[in-house]
Amino acid sequence: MKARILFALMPMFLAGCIPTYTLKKAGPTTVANGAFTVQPSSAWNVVPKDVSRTEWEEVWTQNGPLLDTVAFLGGLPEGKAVVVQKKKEEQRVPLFRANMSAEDLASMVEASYRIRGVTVFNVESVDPVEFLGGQGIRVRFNYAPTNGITKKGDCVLRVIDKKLYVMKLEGVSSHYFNAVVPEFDLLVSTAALQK
Amino acid sequence: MNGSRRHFLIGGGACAACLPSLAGARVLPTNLESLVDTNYEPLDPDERGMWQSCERIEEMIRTSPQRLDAPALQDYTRGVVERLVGRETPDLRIYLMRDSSFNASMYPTGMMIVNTGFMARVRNEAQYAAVLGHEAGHFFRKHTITGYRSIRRKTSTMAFIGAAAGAAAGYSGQGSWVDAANVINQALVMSVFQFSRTHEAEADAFGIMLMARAGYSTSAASAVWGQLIAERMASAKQRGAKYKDRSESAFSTHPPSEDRMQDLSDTADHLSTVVVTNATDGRDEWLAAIQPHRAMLLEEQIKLNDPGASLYLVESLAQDGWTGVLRYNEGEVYRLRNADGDDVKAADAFAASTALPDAPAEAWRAHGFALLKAGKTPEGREALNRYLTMKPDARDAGIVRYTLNQ
Repeated sequence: MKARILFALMPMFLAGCIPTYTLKKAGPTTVANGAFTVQPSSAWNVVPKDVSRTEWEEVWTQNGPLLDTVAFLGGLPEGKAVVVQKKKEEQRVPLFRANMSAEDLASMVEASYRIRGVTVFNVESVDPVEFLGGQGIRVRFNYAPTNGITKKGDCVLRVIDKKLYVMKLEGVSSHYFNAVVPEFDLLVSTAALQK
Repeated sequence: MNGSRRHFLIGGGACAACLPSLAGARVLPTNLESLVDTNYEPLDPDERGMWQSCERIEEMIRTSPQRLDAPALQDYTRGVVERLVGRETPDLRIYLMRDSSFNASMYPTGMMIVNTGFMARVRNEAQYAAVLGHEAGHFFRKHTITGYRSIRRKTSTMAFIGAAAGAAAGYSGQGSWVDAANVINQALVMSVFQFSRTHEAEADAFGIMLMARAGYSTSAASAVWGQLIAERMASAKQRGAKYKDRSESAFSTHPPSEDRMQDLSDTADHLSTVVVTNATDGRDEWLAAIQPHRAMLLEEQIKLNDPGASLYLVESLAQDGWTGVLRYNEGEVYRLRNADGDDVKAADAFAASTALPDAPAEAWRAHGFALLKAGKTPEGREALNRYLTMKPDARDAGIVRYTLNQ
């Protein structure tokens, strides 16, 4: 009898273990473990944390992560990578160094895609950008995953006190990317370091 | 049956017994005849089903953004295949795909896929022909359909159901051509790995036979594997990892690379004494065909940041002479690795690149940033200005101009 009750309750326990999406309402809010604040004008879904992302990253989506995402990386220290990777993996994203040039930072973003099997990756532009109260860089790019659906990306990066801060929009290039660009620009322009 | 081609050949027939130059009994590769001609049509429901799956994959490949748009290289590749098979090939459709992994594949309908990751590593036309001939062997010896039938004969009901479900997924249009292609490849792996290893061995034999007939240097076939093994060893050493021949896995469809290399080498030595005269490696032809694409091919490899493999590749290609593109990519390997002292090595390589007549514009950019990092501001600014002069509409011109204005 006891076993039956436990068996009947098991789905409830398991359901409690499954990470769920939460809603982020419009208005000022902190992101990436409180590293900085942004002010979205509309509600976003916060994608549950998982082992494929570093502890410094938080991800939001409007229409689901396959269609669009905005990622926030707050305060990545020197010697760490923007992605989770093992020391002896064959292909690795370069580790972050505070003295990285704009060229190095752009390469870091690109490598994070190439090591995942993306061969067709095009940098569209690398420009200066105002981010978190100072000058950062903005990398616009597109790429072709192996599923044949091309995506576009827009990534802003800045090094502050030897730590890396990043915001990255990524979306399916046919519609979703462009639909989220205005909101992403707003997020970038309202981003402020937590005091 | 052991998966190596040597053992496959030993299992063959009596003809080889009279050939003193081969150790033990072997079937000469020249005994492997084509089972497919230009008008070949699928014979039964199994084969027709397989063809329909492949046609679906081909439809996706035809419009894939990964397809390399390079008509001259496409024509060149077909030329190599036609030289190998000794006739025009309206029954083969060749697709060059931007995929950084070392691979090429063949489907029973006559669709051949050649990855840029394979082209990046090739040193001459004979090496290119070695792999294309191997792939042609799969087609002309009808390996896919035999493999499929092997599943039906040899695997459990569940495995067969799994394969059928996979094939159905391929039909449904869900997922990419890669997913659909994996269904077929997976089906072969699921059969019995030694069965498909035997196919690989036979394709090797068929390919080397075609090479010999076409007048290619047959030693190129084992050289391809030798280079790949050396590259993987260099990669492992760099990472402090133990080199492991991944093809030794029980699920591998390829004979162990070192065994395979040795088999190919043995057969090539034999063929050179009985079949081939005046064989060539086609180095100049290959370099002329690949030169317009080499910068892209190298970029695809170097940006994977596998420094041991990348340095091996660059230095291996440099055996034909250092160029500005090679020196620039050598510097890129160090820049991306970014270990202690790599900034100096990268700077030296970029400087060396800019001293060569074919230095790409990007070498001047990299040279400029390296000089700025080293505190050599005037020289760095000069190099960045040179970059913008060479490439005023560069995609990163915005950040370079901003850097210059600081």
